[in-house]
Amino acid sequence: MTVLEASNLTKIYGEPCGECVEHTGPAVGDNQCPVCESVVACAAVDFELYDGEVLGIVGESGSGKSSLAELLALDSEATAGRVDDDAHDGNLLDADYQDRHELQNHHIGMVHQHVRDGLELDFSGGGNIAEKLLAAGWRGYGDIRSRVRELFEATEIPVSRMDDPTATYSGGMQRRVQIAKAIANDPELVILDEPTTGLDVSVQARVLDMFRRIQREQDVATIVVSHDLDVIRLLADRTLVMRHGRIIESGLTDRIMEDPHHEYTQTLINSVI
Amino acid sequence: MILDIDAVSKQFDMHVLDGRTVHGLDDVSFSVDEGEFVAVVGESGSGKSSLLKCINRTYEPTSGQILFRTTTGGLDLATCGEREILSVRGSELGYASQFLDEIPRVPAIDVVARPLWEQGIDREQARGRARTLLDRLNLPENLWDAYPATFSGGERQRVNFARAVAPRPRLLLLDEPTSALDAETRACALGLLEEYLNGQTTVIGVFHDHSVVDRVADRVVVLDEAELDRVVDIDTYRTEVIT
Repeated sequence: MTVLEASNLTKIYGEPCGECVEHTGPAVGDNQCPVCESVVACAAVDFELYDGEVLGIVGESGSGKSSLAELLALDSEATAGRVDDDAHDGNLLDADYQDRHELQNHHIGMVHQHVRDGLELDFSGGGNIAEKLLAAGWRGYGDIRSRVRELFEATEIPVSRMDDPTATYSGGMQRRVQIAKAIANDPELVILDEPTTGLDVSVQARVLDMFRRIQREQDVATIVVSHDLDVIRLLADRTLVMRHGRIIESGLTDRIMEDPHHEYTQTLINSVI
Repeated sequence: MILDIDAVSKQFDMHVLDGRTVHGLDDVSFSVDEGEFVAVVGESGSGKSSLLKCINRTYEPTSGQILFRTTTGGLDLATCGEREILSVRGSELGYASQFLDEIPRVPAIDVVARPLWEQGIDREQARGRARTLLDRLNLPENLWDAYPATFSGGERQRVNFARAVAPRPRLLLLDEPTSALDAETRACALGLLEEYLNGQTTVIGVFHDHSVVDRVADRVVVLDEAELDRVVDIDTYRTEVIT
């Protein structure tokens, strides 16, 4: 079953002149329109996301992958395109303010690259998660508390730290709180934007492993955006390769890694140190 | 018949090498019966690993068909959709490369158990089966809860081997799974293949060692410079090559 189907997703920063998409992209080697100087963050992006799968989006800085993640998380407005999602009638990108909130609270869990975008560091770790539960209509102190405890255990955070300010947590724990918050309301879709940024290598591995276990157990469809091929290799079933705002290649992750077709993908894979 | 490989070719267009084309496989055809053990042999660079990777779709064949009969029907592994490939990997189709490639900081026991619980088997039951397999492969018990990154080549290969056979896929692709094992451990691994898989799993395995081929194979596929040289039964191969 398809959870989400995106077609012609486009995000342009600036005042588009109408020809920006033709004047940018991998063939031109730039994502800034030479006519009006608008920046085409992503354009003409088509893909499907299946039930229970992890889709990787890989590309270097400026390839448009984070812009794409923001569109899907309904954190920014698309310039054009259509997203059909199980949880919503009609084009998801046209959802009004109220529907967006409803979707973000119940159906889409976002793990931001920067902790500050995802968590209130002055609140306790438990409080951050409780806030998400409250937004989805949870009531009753005892119920919320026991759900938070359950989520701490699932994401392997010491429950004894539940009431401490999030600012006092290690980077790895903060990332876990973000993941706990993202999955708190059993969403249909989780989006991870650069899930290992700022973490020590040893912590990265444990966070990825924890996430993969939860993802498989709950069978939640996931989009993981990263410049790091190792993150993609370890998590994603299928992968989209982006450059200059376009998808230049897509396929099974092991196929992309071992039999890359596009010239750019071959260079990317061969650049790994 | 479980697998029918028909005129499969694989070319690599190496953009990084000025667009040079490399031939991985050239017009290879043969078929495999259910329950058979087929050994693939040939010199380095003859296309053995490419063949297994094409069957697993880690390489996308340039042309040809790879018809795979599954429990629910059949599909062409060379051309079917990615979703279909993902759905047969695991219980129907298993693949093990020569070296272990896993998330770091996962204990050996969980590396082996993971494919089982991803198939829905209870966590403790999966760990139980993993223990049995690692024990049969003579992996010291004090390593079961340690991280394979710190293991020797032979120890890592045993973990890799146990992980590959654990889910008992219907078709198992093994790429030199015993290359780093000493003779005694290798004998354990091959014994395990026979007993644990119990003839229910069809195996296509790449092997360098003649004695291994002699012990496990029903038929032998010989590759030479990306082409199929011949397919012979083990008795013929024995008279031709081994003795």
